[in-house]
Amino acid sequence: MFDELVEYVRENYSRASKIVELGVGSRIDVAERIKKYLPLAEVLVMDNDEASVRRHVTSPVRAVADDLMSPQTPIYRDATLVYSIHPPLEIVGPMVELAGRVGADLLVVPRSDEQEAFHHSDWQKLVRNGRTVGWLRIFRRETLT
Amino acid sequence: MDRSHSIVVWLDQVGKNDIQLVGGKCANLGELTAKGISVPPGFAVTADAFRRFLEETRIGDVIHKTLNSSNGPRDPKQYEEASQEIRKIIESAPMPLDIAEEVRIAYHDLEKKTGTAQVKVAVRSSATSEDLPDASFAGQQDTFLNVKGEEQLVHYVQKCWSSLYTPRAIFYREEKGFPHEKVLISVGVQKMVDSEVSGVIFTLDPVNGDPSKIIIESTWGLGEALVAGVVRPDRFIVDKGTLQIVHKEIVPKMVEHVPNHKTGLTSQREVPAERRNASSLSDEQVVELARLARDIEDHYQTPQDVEFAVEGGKTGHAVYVVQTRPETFWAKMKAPSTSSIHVMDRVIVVQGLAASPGLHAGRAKIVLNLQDAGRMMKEKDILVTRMTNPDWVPYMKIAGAIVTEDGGTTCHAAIVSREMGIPCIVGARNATRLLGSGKEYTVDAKTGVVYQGLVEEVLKPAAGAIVQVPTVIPVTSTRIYVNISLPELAEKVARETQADGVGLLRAEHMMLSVGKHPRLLIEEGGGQRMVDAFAEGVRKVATPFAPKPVVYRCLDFKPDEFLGLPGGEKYEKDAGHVGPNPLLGFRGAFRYVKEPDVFRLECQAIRKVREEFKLTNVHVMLPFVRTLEDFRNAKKIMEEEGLKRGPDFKLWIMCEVPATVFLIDKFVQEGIDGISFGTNDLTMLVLGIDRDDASIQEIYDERNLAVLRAMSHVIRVCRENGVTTSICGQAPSNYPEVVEFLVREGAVSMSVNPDKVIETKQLVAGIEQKLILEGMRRMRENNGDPAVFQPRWPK
Repeated sequence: MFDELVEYVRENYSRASKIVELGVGSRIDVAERIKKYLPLAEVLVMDNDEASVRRHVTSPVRAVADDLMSPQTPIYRDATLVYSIHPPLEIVGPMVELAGRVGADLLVVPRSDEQEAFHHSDWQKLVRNGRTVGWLRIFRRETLT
Repeated sequence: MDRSHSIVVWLDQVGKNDIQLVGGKCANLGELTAKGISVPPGFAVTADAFRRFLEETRIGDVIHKTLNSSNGPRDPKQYEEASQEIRKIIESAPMPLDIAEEVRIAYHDLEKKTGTAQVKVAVRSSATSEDLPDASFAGQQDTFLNVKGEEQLVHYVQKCWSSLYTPRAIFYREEKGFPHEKVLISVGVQKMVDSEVSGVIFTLDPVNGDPSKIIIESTWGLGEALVAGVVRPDRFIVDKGTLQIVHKEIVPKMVEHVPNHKTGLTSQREVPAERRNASSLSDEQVVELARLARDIEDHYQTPQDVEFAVEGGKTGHAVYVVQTRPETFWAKMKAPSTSSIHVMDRVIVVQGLAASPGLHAGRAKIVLNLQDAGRMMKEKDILVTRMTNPDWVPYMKIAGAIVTEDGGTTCHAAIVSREMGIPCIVGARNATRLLGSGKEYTVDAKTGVVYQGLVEEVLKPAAGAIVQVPTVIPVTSTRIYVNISLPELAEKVARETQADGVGLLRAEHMMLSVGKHPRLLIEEGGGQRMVDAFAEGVRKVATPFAPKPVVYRCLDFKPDEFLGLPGGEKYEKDAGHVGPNPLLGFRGAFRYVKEPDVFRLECQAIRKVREEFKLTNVHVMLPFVRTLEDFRNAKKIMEEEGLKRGPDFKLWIMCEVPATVFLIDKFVQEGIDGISFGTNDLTMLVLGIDRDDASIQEIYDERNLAVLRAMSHVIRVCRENGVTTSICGQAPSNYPEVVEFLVREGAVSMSVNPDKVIETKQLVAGIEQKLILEGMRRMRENNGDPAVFQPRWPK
């Protein structure tokens, strides 16, 4: 599940120093796979639901609780990439704001019936092996290559 | 005594100032030993021993040459290669004889001290830059457990030395700017604790940084299982002040790690049945550990992350601290207390709790009493004070933002500013001292930060954010509804958009919040949990919008989207539901008929909202309806669950399959109150495009004439039969011409994303005015014949 996303991050963010998953919910396997492939990167996951974050405390990736509507910016400082899987559309705006503020790229994998909200010139569609991986907004200030 | 050239020193002879001699880990353990905290006895092979090893074997230069062979950033493969090369050199070089001999002697002394021949030891690396407050090197070097005998010990000491050059450690030193040649490594050798229980204590909550709590996680056996994440631990939350256990979570622990006496290492085994569900710590032990951790934090004056081991179990136990290190993550988040710091080219002056969100830039007025307030405060000034009370309200009203030194999110300033909609930060320590009266600042009460000066980057509205309500929102004949995915934000959306209702309340994110596949929930007897969670989610939306309508769309996960939930693999993949194109697969109304038990839970949730919460503004929409039979059967199940269509309860369907377009008259006869176009799927199916196939996307266009004709036909039939028509796809948000088309065709409403509601209302108002003017002109030309208002087939 989300193999294409993991591969995309692996191929394009291999020199990232910090990657954060926003709204991790009950599944942490994507972040753990990214961490496995990019052991040099600090990988964090966050959610506003403390109970779901607590389930991940002993994971190899750091899990923290935060509210995207009023985020603690230092958590995300120095991130190269922030990404989110199936976020509710209402919090995509705050994600954009946060990513812009810290200068990190934002990669969103929307649910299928929410994809059309990303059909906008601000977003770059990511395709791998002919399939849509997600949508990207570049805020990074320096290149990784 | 000058120990700087010692090869071995005992842990009880070192302290926190000996990091350069024995590394951070061993220095900390020595410090704890001196404080009387129970630490397994042992010694350290010093960093100087390692330095001599590098010098006498002459491999230091080779290593540093390898590390410096490429300038600038490297890729992960280069780190791997450099690491492999260096570690091989270190591990294959002979250890100087006098160093090896001293290690052997110390081991024999440890045997005597512990009264155990061939005592088993833990061999841990302790780098001289490890565990510094601002650069946690935790876990970057190796640890070897259960090592026995002098030869094995010498071998593992050398392996620990080489672990100074793991790819991760090399990378971190480069990232943090530590010169490789300045970092040495010491090796701690400690008696192995025969742990019956082990775990970790955090002297602040690692999840949210709350410093008033101590979190203890514990499991059976050695701590490896916990660190490796192979077990879910028991969890205890203790109040740091009172040492009372405020939360306890005891979970089944299926496996434990234990010493393997055959291999000399460790192995994993099943936990005997009688211990699996038992608490790994007694309440007394939890309190004892919390007290211990609090003492350690007091000693170091900074939050700690403490690893512990309990020998002997619940009775006659001995608690050992195996390691302690500063908690670095949240330490970095702390607000500056006495000086300013630069973040992203902005200067943060003070920081506190965001109590009432919003942004404001203006002049600060430091007012410590009401007299000062009366004298100094002007319209839109930033009111900076210690704390407010009701007497301050007149000055709060004119403030552009409020910053208080004291208080939390429920204090007077927080509550009143939220009511007034004024940005407010509370608990901003030293604000009255650090901010200057009359100086300009930018208050970001979304993040709780006050910046020096006017920071335009902070003040400008972010793309995608909900637009501020303008003074006048136009009234339109076409109702503009809003799409909602996240119930928690409904109140804010209702207030800020003033939408005419909710045209699409998505259920999928509620399911994600429940956190399990619905079939797994049912299997575990948790069906009611889903009913309650969904009812609560719908209540959160229906309440702020009441009496305006809220149209709840039943779950429409595609099978692959369920896979992310626990149970998803079993009930979707293994059950054969995940086909080659899930968009065309086991979804929509067909699924309700095939899996009525899940659909019934949704119906029960809606009934609960309508009957128990008295929110009769909630109606239901069935998605992806393919056939009349599916619709009929789903409707029957709804009726059996007490959701019978009537004047007070409307039943809508999504119109997104061409079959519903062609058969719209039949659906009307079956009994529907409304339809909503799902333009995403409708376009996909009318044009025969796989939405996920990138190679064909260039012809995907909701404005294609075929799609417009489909919608035109449905609107006409519905209007003739008094059925409401709406749209909840993305087309109106993306294309203004689609909005005009729908208004001209006579759609009753449209439902758009929150950030598009006001924009769409303004657009629709303009179109409606244009239509009125066009109509009046034609009426004049046709002597008042109103037939010109009849919709026409689009060209």
